[in-house]
Amino acid sequence: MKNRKPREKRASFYDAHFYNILDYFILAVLVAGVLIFILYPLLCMIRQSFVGEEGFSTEVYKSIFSDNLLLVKNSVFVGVLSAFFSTILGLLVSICVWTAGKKPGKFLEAILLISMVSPPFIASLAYIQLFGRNGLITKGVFGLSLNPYGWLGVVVMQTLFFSSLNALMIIGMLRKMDMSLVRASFDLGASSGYTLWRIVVPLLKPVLLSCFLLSFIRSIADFGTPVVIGGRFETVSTEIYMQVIGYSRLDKSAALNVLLLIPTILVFILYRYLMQKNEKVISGNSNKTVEAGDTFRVRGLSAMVVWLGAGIFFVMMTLEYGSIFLNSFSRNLRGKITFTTMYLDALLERNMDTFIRSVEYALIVAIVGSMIGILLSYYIERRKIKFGGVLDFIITLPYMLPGSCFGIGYILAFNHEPLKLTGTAVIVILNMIYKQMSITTKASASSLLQISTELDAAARDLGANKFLVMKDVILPNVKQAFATGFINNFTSAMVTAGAVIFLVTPGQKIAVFTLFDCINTGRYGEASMIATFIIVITISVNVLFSIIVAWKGRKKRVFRTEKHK
Amino acid sequence: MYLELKNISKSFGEKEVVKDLSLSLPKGELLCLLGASGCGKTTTLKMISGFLKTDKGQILVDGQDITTLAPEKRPVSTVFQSYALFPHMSVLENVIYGLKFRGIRKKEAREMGMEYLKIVDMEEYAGASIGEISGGQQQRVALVRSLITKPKVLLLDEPLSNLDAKLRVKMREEIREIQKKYEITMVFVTHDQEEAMVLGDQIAIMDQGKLVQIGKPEEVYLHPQNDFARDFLGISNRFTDIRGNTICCRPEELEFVAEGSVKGIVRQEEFLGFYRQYYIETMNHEHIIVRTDRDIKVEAGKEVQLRVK
Repeated sequence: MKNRKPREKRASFYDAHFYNILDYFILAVLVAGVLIFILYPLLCMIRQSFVGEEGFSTEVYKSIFSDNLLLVKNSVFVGVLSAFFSTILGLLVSICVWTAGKKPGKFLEAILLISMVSPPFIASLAYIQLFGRNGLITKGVFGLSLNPYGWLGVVVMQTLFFSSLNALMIIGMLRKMDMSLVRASFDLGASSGYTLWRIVVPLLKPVLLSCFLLSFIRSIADFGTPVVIGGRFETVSTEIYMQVIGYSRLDKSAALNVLLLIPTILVFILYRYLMQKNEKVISGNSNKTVEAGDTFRVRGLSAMVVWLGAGIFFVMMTLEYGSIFLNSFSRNLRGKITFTTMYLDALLERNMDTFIRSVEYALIVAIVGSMIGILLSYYIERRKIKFGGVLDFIITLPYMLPGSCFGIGYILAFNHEPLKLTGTAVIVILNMIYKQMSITTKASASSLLQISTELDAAARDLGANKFLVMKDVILPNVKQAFATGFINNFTSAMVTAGAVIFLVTPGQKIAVFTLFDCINTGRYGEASMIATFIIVITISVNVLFSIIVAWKGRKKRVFRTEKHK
Repeated sequence: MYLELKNISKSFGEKEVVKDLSLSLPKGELLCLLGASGCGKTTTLKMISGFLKTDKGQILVDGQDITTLAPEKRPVSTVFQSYALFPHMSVLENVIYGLKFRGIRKKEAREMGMEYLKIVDMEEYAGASIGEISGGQQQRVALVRSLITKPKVLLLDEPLSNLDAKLRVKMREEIREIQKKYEITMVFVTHDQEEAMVLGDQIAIMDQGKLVQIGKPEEVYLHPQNDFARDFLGISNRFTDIRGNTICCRPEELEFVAEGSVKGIVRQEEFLGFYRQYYIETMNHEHIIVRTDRDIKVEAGKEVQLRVK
C-alpha cells in the first residue's frame, strides 16, 4: 500500500499535465484557425483595395464613391424597400403562423422552412418562368409579353425570400413571449385586435428592427437576384461580381467591397445592441410563465389584415415552388405543356458528379464546422478566455459580411505560398465552414447556458481536469447544438451561393454554381431540375439526420427509465 | 352568495385536474384556495377568469352565469403570478390600460390612475418604466391595475411567491388592508398555509382536484375533516395511547406530565427561538412531535410521559 500510493499520484500528475497541454493546444489551433481563415482574408481584401497599379495609394478611394454614386444609390434604394416590405410581410406571416393553432401552424412553418433549404435565386428563376417574356402566366394566361427585368423584380424577389427568414425569426420571439401579458390584456378587457397591435407588436419592435437591418444587409450584399433579373439595373454587388468574373479586376472589386463593408459593420453593431435589448423586453418580467393551453386567436379586421398579407405570401410561395417543380418535368412547346424527363436525364448524365461533390463538401462542412463551433463556444462562453469577445466578433463577421467580401478575401489570401489553396477543394470547404461558424457557436452557447456551471465545478471538485470536464460534462450535453450546427452547416453548404461562386473552379463545380450558371445562360428547365434536386437532397439529409438524433435520444431515455425500475 | 362554483370539472386529455368542485363566497370576503402544487387550484382560478373553459359545471358571479363568457367580458380580474406588467409602458399607462375598454376618456383615466396609485403609495412612480421599479412595487402596480377596473371578483394567483420572506409578510398585510377597506371579493391562490391562515376569511383546501374542506381558518385548523386537511395545515401527530385509543393532535396540544396517557423516550430536542420542539418515540415505536414553551427543557434520552391538553 505504502509503495503504491506515490506512484498513483505521479501518474495522475502526468495525466493532468498531458491533458492541460492538450487543452492549450486545442485552444491555440482554434484561435489560429479563426485568425487565419477569417481575419487574414478580410485584411487582405482591405489591403488590396489600397494597392493600385503603382503601389500603395488611396487613389481608388478618391474616386470610388463619386464614380459609383448611381450604384450606391441603387443598392440603398433596393435595400431599403426590400428590408421594409420583407419585415412587414414577415410580421404578418409570423402572426398568422403563431395564431393558426398547432397543426396548421406547423404546416405553414414547414413551408417557411422549405425556403430555408432553397438556393436564393430560385425565386427569380420561378419569376422569369411565370412572368417573363414567355411566362406561364403573362404569356400563357394573358397573352402578354412583358419585360420582367428591372428593379421592381429585384425588390419583389428579395422581399419574398427575406420574408421567410424574418417570419422565422419573429416566430422564435413570439414563442418566447411571456403569454401572461396577453392574458393580462384580455383580462383587463382588451379585444384580440387591440392586444395584437398594442401589446404583441410593440413588444416585437426590437426584433422587427433587427429583421429590417439584417434584410438590408442581405439585400445590398445579394448579387444573385439582380444579376439574374436586374437586367440593366445594377448595384454595388452586381458590379463587384462583374469586376471579378468579367474583368478579373480584384483591386477594383476589393475597393467596392469596402464600400459595402462600412455600412454593414455599422448596421451590424447596431443589430447586436438591439438583440441584447430584445431579450430584455420580451422576457422583461422576472419570471415568465409558459403554460400549456395558451392560445391566441385574432378576430375581426386585424385577422383580415394578417390573413391577406400571409395569404399573398403563401400563394406566392406555392406558385414559386410549384412552377419550379412543374418546369423540371415539363416543356413548353408552342404553347403546349408536355411531360418530359429530358432535364432529369440531362442531370443524371452530366451533373451527378457535381451533386456527389456538393454532398461530400456539405457533409464535411457540417461535421467539422459544428465541432469547431462547439469547441470555440466552449472556450469563449464557458471558460471565458481572454479576448473572447473579440474572437466572437471576428467569428460573426463572415456571417454578416457580403459573400463577395469573404470570397475575394480568400482569393487574395490563399493564392500564394505558404498557403496556396486557390483552385483546391480545401479553400471552398474552409470558406463554407468559417462563413457559417457563428450560427454553431450561438447555438452551442445557448446549450451551454442550460448546463449549470456547478456541473463543471462538481467535475473539477471530483478531480477532473479542464480537458476531462470538456469531454465528460460539456460534450455529451451539447448534442442539440451539434444537431443545429449540422443541419445549418449542411444546408448552407448546399444552397448558399455568395462567396463560393468566386472560389469554385470549372473543374470542381458544385450544384449551386451549376444552377447559377444555368439560369444565367437561360437554360431554365435544367435549372429548375437542379433546384428541385438540391431542395430534395437537402431536405432528405436533414430529415434523416433529425431522425437519427431523435432515435438515439429515445434509446437513451428508455435505458434510463429501465435503470430507475 | 356572490361567487359560486357549481360542480365544475376540467380534464387535460386523460387527466382530470379538477373534479366536481363546488364552493361559494359571500360578497367582500377573501377566500384562500390552498393546496400543494398540481392540486388544481390554479386551474380552478383560470376557469373563473375564463382562460380555461370548464368541461362541466357553472360559474356564477353576483347571480350572473359567466361560464361561457370570454375573459375580456367577465366582471373578474386577475393579478398574475408574474405580475404580467407590460414592459413597454409606464407605470401609469399600465394602471389605466383596462379603462380604455370601459369608455373612459384619457384625461379622466389618468386622474383615476393617479388616485389608485395613491392607494398603494406609488404616485411618485407614475412615469417610471416597469424595469425601474422593484418586485414589491411591481406587485402593487399589478394589484392596482386590476382594482381600477372595479372587478366584482379579484383573483390572485400566488401573487407573493416571487418576493422575499420579509416583503411577503408586508405585502400580505397591504393586500389584506386594501381588501377590507374597499370590501373586495377576492380569491387568493397559495400553497403557503401560513399565508392562507393570515389572509383568508375562508380557506378552501384542495387535493387532487377535489375540495377537501372549506371554512374559517380556525374551523379548518381545529376541526380538520380528514387526515389530509390536518396534515396540510401544520404538523399533526397520530398515535395510540395506553388505553389503545388512536389520538390525533397538534404538537402544541401536548404537554409533559408526571403521569400521562402516553409514554416515550425523547430522541431529539430542538431550540427554535420562541418554542422548543421534541421528537419522541413511544413504547409502540410511534413518533410524536411536541412543542413546548422554550423554558421547558428535557434532555434527549430521557423517559417522559405526555398528555393532551
